Amino acid sequence: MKFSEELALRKLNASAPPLAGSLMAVLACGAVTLVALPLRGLLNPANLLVLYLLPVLLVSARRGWMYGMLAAFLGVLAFDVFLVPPYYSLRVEDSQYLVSFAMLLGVALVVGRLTAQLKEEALAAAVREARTQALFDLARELLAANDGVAVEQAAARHGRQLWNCAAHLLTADEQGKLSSAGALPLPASVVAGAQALFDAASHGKALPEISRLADACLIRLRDDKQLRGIMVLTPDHPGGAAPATDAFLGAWAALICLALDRIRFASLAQQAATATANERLRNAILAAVSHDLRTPLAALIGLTGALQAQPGLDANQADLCRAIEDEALRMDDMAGNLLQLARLSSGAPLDAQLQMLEESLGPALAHMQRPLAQHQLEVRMEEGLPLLRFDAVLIERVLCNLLSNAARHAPPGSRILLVARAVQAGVEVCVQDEGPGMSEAALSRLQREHEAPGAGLGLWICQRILGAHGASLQALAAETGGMRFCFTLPGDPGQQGVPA
Amino acid sequence: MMRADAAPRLLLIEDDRAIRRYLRMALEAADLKLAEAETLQQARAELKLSWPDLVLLDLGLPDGDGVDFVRELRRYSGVPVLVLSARMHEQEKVAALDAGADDFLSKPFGNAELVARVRALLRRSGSPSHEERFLFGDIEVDPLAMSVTRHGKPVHLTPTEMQLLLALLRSRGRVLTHAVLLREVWGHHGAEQGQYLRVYVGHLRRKLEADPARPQWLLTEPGVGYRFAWPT
Repeated sequence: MKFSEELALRKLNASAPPLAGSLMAVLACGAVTLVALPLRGLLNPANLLVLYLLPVLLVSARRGWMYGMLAAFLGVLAFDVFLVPPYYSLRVEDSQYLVSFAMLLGVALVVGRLTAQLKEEALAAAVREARTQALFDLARELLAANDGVAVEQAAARHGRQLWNCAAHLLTADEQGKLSSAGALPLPASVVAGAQALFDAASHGKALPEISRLADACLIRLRDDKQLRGIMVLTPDHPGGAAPATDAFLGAWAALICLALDRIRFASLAQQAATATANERLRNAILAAVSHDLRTPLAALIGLTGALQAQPGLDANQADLCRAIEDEALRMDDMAGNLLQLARLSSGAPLDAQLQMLEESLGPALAHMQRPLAQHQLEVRMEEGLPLLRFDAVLIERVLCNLLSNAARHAPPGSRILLVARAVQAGVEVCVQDEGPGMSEAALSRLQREHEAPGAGLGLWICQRILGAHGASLQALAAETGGMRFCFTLPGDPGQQGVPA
Repeated sequence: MMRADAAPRLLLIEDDRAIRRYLRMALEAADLKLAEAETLQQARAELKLSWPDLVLLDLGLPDGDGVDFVRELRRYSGVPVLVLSARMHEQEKVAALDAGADDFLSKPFGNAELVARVRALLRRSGSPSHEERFLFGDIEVDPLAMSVTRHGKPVHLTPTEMQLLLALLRSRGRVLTHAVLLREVWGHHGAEQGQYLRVYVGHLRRKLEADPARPQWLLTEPGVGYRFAWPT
């Protein structure tokens, strides 16, 4: 049996037109009087009075206790006029009938109240049952929904069945801007009102869970942490009413909230799984590509070396050979950068050891000897630098990349300065060149580590490696023109002395 | 082991043809004889035919793990093994050295470096004498007197520094892993003293090197160990 909640509520609130109730009372009393009139000579009037309990019961049950009381008064009046001598007059000869009147009124009052109460309870139970059923149906439907649109459709359908209202879900994006997932149109004023409510509520303003705006009802959707959006219930037809604010509406909205939460978490989990899989694949490809590139590059470098050792090469040919070798070496370096990046992104732990900066600086300078052959490299290392905790292989890569960057951008013959000095936080290393410098845009791009490399792969990898060490690469314009790249490797607080 | 009458014979195990080709050119130019193997299987067959004076081994071979091959070889032979490996495979290098390889060379490498490494390994297997005097640059080390002079003036080394220097000199030209150096200088309790080793190498550099930031003799192999660069 389909139960309309609206009908049940109407009955419960006894909001029937007053005329109908009164008419019923009059008709019922009239009918009883007609039945009683032929009997007035035969029976004691007191027995006839009992007949008037019938309309009182009937009217109380159907129209509420107020009309029951009306029926009782009408009954007493009819009894007095038609059945108690002298007939057709309000006068009462025997005063004991006054007691009968009072009794009828009293019985009518009690019976009417009891009947109406029973009726109310039955109705309330029916409403409760209908509401539980409605919540159950909604929950079942929401369980099958796997996106926001399906939730909105379910909400809309149930809103229509229950209250003849359309339900709209406005969910907030990252900037806190509300937008509807479904296609149902919503007046701009309501959307603006919902946005204002959302903004106020997300700024910590204490507001009721359910608020009203003209004929619309705005319900906040929140999970355990934060406000996620607003649900708007608007009457389907002009002049209709939004549902009353009660616990049922709250429970109904809470179900929708839960469904939205579930969908959000499911999509977050899905995103995370996809991101992990993508990352793994990318690293595997990066590692494979850079590794496979290196074997032919090693052969190329070796073969150019062998070619240069051949007798009979003229100066120009030897020069070309050298240039090929240089480029192949540079390419090998890039492949090395890619490999290091893959290793770093795969989340492999750093091999951080307590050691001196020379452990990376020496190999880096040896490795960079050839690319730096055209420049004047000056290394200024302070005496007695403290031990630092770092991954020697990775910091060697940082130094190589910074030096190679300087060698590429600064004109041949210019000076490249490498300074290492103790600062409060650890040891600061700077590489300074006399090249043309970097544009502001390239500088700021460099500082955003997670973006794609705009300033070149080498510097980007430096940034990533230093980030893993709790340091960062600072790019500054040098006073002498050119660039200065600095980083500070943090010292080890628990450093112990070393016995001689 | 090395035959004085003939040129040293090398076995090259490498699957890349272009690399084999230039290695052959470079090594033959240095009067070294070379046999080639593309796979570990071929290498085993080659080893049954004749015994080389040195093995050059690429770690990434198609039919097996180079590190396992070194371990297998070490069960019946002390022939010097020089591992060829791409840079940045430090774990792989350390594993090969731990398995018994004598040295490694990072790809890409120059011909001069290759020949120098090969010669250093051949010399070691030819001259087992330990207590010779070491002369390099303007430095002289006398292991018997435990003394070091630079420009003819004595240099004071602590006993630990002296032991470390001698360990490096006895394996001159070859890389020594952190673990090997710690065991040789500090004994079996040395495993946790990693930073001491680095600090002592730093001390030695300050006493012996003209520019400690750019060492000429005591070279770091990042992530692997140290090498004493013997002049060739």
